[in-house]
Amino acid sequence: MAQPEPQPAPLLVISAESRMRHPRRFVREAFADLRASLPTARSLLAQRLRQRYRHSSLGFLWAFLPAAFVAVIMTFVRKARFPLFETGSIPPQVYGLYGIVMMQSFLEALNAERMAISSHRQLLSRQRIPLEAMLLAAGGEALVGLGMKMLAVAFVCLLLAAPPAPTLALGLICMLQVLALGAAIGVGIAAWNAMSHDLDHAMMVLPWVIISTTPVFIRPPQGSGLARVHAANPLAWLIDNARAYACTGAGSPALLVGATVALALVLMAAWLVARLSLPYALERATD
Amino acid sequence: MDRPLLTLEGVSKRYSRNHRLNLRYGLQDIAAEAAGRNPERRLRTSEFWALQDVSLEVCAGEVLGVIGHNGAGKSTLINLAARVQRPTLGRLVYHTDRVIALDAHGGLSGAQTGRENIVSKLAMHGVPPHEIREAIPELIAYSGLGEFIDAPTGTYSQGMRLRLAFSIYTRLKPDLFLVDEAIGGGDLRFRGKFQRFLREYVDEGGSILLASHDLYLVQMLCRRCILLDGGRVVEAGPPETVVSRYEEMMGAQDLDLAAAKKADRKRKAHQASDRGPEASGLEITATEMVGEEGPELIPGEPALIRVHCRAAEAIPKVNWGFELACPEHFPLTSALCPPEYAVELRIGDNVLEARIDRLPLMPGEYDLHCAVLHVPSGAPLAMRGYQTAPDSFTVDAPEEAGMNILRHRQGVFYLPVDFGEPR
Repeated sequence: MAQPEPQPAPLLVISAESRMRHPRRFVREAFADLRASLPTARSLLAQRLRQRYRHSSLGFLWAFLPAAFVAVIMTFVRKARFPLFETGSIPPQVYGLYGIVMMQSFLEALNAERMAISSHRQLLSRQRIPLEAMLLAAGGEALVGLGMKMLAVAFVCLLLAAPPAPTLALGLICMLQVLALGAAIGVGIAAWNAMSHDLDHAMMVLPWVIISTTPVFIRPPQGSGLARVHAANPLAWLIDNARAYACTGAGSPALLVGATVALALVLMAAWLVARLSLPYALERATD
Repeated sequence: MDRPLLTLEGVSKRYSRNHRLNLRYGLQDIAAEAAGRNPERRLRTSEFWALQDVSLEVCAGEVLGVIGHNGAGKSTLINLAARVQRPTLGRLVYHTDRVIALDAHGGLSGAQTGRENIVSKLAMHGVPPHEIREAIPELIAYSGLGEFIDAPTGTYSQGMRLRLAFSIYTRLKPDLFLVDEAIGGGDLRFRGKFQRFLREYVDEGGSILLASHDLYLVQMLCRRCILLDGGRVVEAGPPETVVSRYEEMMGAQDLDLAAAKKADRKRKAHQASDRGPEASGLEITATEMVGEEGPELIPGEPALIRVHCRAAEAIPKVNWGFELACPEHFPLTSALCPPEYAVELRIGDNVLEARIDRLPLMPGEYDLHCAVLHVPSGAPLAMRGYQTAPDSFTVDAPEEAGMNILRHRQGVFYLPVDFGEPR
């Protein structure tokens, strides 16, 4: 009697079982998708950059203008000897310039990642394209934006004859930390954002709340209420540390190392949350 | 035994109808999965099963058709198979990783250029970078897109998208295509090319899970088919049988509407009366249309029309005629017996009969309206179905591909054609 042909072992089984019952497999698949998504991420990034400035009369100048505008304002403030502005040993124009550049980059990274699922929902719900491509492209766009803004900062510093500190490279790493914090928050809430318009409404107010609780333009007097609020804000620590390393060299190495490790973990956790949430977000996404 | 490529085992998927509850359920489900809990089997408020306990297998070299009305669960099935969504219950077992979902966009990203689509598609399916670089010029030439290759595919015509998609998929040679209404928006030429592409792919041993409303395509490509209704598989088997059942289901829905209208018409008609025995001494007691060998009426088969009438006195010469009607048309057609075929009616019950060699009616329900006329004056002696309710008859649907397509495309009548002897 002929033996029945053995059933080949399945290559993949997708079940209703929680993926968290096999966390190692979940993480292994995440990294495999991350690797596979790189070409798509590259082309998406190029596409996003082209789209971003294509329909704008000033094109890439928009990357410089806010920073340049802040520099002009701060110059005016300094000349007017406005009493509330205290920026320590850093010239107020430079202080404000770094502040606005980092705050802009933080918000850009947060928003780009927050929209990563909702803005590609049509594509993601038709094809199994790794979410990582969208997340990387969004992060890349924020990174390119930061690079453009840093060119504006360099230009203004040159005009003001305000040379950077020798620890500028560490300052740039701290700026990347600011970007990573924004990206981590955005990635973490991307699925929620796809399922509801609540965050769109919240983002009308949230930037102002963040700006008012972060030393963007001014440093509040020691012991003041605002100083205590800043002291409780991790974003404020990162921005202050970046500015200190870039301008005076008096940054905190402990904060630099600690924040790097913490942000790497937070970013990875947010990525895995987004990955876990993606199918739910796609089936419940709002139009 | 055929090699299975994809097996669905008791797969169910639930959705919520209530958008307000969507966010809450979504966050609950995410939290539950993060905590390692499996989904519950019950439905929460406003939820429904988009797919329920679906089991099927797609084997190598097989085209499995999935048909059903809108909302039956076809797209959910394809989305689950494409791994865009996850099942609520059950599991999907893949014996291949070369599965490609093909939709109305050709499976391409509209935001990316043609060249970018080539790179990302090939990379996503594991083609090494150096092979991608080598393949690009060949694929561009094959697609015939020329300088348009660097424009976003969202700006392409559907034909251009398809050419690009064909060239990429020809290079990828997937084991299984998942096709969801992929050709819905295309023109006839486009549809023809797409069908040829799928035909060639199948002839070369490819497999397709095809969810479509295009019953012609389904019957052309599939040897097996399933019918979804309310998320459940209600019929599975050869496409002719399944498509026929689908048409019956759709017809029944139409008939429910028509029946309501008809009942109303009958109620009104019963309040009036046709010319009866009081006036002429002749009453039509019944009319019927039946098959020659039984009550079933089949398009293209012989049919008999009978008029049963009762005469109070003998009438030496009468002729008769009838009209057929359907809910959309009155009359649909009519026939009148020529005066030279006039007959005599005896006292008592009489039957007038006519034969239709090959019934040209489409499957459906029809009304029969009859009149018996005096010869030579032509004055009506009795009528049935004009001021009283008409008698109805049903033409059944044969299980054959041609008829299924004709019904699906809402053909008006059946043309009994003799194509000669089979060779």
